[in-house]
Amino acid sequence: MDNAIEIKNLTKKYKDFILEDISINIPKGTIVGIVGENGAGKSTFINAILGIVQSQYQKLSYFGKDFHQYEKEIKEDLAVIFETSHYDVELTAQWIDRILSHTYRNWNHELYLKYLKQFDIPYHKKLKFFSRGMKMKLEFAIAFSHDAKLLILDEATSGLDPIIRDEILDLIRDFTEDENHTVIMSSHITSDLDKIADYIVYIHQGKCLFMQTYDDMKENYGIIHGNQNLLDTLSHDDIVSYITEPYSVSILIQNRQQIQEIFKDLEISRPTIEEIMLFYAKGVKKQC
Amino acid sequence: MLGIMIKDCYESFFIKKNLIGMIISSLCLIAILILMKSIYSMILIVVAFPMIGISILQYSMEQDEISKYDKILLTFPITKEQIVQAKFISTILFTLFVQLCLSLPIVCLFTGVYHVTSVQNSFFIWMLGFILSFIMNSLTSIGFFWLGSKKGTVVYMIFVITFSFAYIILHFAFTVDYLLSLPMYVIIIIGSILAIILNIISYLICVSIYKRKHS
Repeated sequence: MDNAIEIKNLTKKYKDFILEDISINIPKGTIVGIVGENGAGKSTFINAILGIVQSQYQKLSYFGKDFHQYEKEIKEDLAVIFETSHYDVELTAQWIDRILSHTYRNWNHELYLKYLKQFDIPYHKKLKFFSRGMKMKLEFAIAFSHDAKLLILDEATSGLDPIIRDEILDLIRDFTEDENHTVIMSSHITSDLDKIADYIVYIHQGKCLFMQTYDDMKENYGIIHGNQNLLDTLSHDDIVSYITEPYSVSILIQNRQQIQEIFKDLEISRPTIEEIMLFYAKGVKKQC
Repeated sequence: MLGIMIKDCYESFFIKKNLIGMIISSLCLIAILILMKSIYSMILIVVAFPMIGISILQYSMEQDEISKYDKILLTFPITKEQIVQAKFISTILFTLFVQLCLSLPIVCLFTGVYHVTSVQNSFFIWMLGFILSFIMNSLTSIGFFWLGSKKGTVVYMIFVITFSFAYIILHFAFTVDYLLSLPMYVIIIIGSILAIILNIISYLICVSIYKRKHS
């Protein structure tokens, strides 16, 4: 499978925070969810791969092209949507059309109008009169109107009501129907990623803990609620981490199917992304 | 690059508060124009008017800061150098517009209708206004890129006050006739070269400030 992005040893150092040695490859035609707690480095990672902040890396390439060498060309194929719109609220959709038609080589005015109509966005109204949902839909109209191949969303669904979020997830799904279209989506709302992500990248304290396919995660991980005896019985290789509660222990395990075969009566539930995140962030790793 | 210039233009002329600000400053100068029909007021207007050329940078930067526009701008297919270039070109074009469409008719009015000085002297004063505004743009641009729109405006005001004091001192120290008897062609050529050099240096400094801000 071809990669949309290849990242090798990407590091960004701040005085009080380091995003350290991130190495991942993002395959074309997939939706990649980036998860992590607040301040884990998700936005720093996105800003670094976009060149918004300068970072150090051994390799950063998009669609096989080196980012440093072909930054401008690569950005023709990117669409980025942040948590809040960064367009001046005094602008109208019409003026954004004028501005971006002179910014993107592939800007498609007709397509833009089509999306505005589809999303019920007024062409002449100033953005300051738009609701948050309307602003976000306008961002999607912009993103889809210049033939972007890679859509990057940085907490774009945060603060939106469930109905708008669902509509946005549908838009993302439609976008990735084309196998050349890729989506990177960082989100606190992991339930959104449960619905659409093909891969999950987990960033914790500036480090990439894993990148796995969503299906593998669902298949391999499991949660067992038991007691201390059960925790002692399980092999430490199978335990990712555990959380001790007042009268029980919750254990996140890997090799769910093998464990289920051994302990046939044991109830093992499939975790959500949020639960996996919680175990990685707050759980204790069993020591030998 | 043209996209940035269109946005800057919109923010300067289509946002009510910015447009009102520009109209008020123009009205003040027009009031001077009507009330004072001397060569001193002509010099004041012709030199001061083009200095509002920098306001396009101030207004656009103010709006960019409010919406944090740089964040989305840096995802567009445009380099940091081109972003600074676009801001410089917008300022230069607006200064040229003011110079040709406002300052030049005023000079014609003072020369042809008020008869305050000769055509040749008027041309020199007009050229001097041209040069001074470009020198002013180069200096204040650094202030705006370095300190942002609010503090940059303070820097701009400091320069305006300095220029005004210099004008007053010149007014008391020398007569206008003496100043106009100086080798004007030489002053204009040296001034033009200085304005070009200062603008190139200013551009390079602004690019490095912009890159540093986004590193």
